Amino acid sequence: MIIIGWILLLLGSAFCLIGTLGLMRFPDFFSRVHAAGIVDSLGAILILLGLITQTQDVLIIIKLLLILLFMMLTGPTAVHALARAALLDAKDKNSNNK
Amino acid sequence: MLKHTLITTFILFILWLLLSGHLEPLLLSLGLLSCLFVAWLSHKLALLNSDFQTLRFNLNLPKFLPWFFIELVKSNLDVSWRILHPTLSIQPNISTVPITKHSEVGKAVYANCITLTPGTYSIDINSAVIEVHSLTKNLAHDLQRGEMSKRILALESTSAKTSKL
Repeated sequence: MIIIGWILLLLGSAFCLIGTLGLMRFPDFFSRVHAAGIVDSLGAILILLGLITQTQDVLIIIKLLLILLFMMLTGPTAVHALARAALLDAKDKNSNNK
Repeated sequence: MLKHTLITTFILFILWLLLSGHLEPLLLSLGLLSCLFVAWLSHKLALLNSDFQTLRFNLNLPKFLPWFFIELVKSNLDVSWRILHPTLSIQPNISTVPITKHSEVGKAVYANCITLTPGTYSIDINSAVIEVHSLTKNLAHDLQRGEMSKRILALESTSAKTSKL
């Protein structure tokens, strides 16, 4: 069980690393959001599942699952707010230039 | 209305128990009091109607979640591969997907599912379409083929049936 946990944690960290790398490599804001999405989805899921395997306490497992649930709910909201703000900003700049 | 407030209190109290793990009478009664207070507040703020729709909706999720999880992993691997590939083969573009058949809750779930799978996310939403930014043309075409849309519609139709029962 501990070994499975380690594998999950390492895989999760790897996906977080890849996501961060993508954040730097991608050319513009809108594609960078996709890279950040990897950290938010598979990175977070694997790390939290890995942490779940490291404990026998049911209460702690429930708390970790709740954290996962809330991340799944708040992540898209944040992405949506950021992307919409960027889109409105881009439209603003275009109309100012003309 | 009273029924809704009581159910809310019950769910909140279960959550309180799971999060705290305390079983002493004093703490239990304090927890119950605060749950009652929150339920009363939500009743006053008229928050309870929409919450009960989503509770019914959740009962049909076990069919949907495994499929969604596999999609999530696939799209994660795809985007990771593109990040690590030296040529960085991406064609960012904005497309639209129709959502006219979905209910209000269905629209929100659909937009969130699009955002949760890396490679696509929803920028803007109105009553007819979701504007989607996708990393490659293929991902946009996959969405427009409507597999995810169909599955979310199926979620809604089964929830409509259970609400009648």
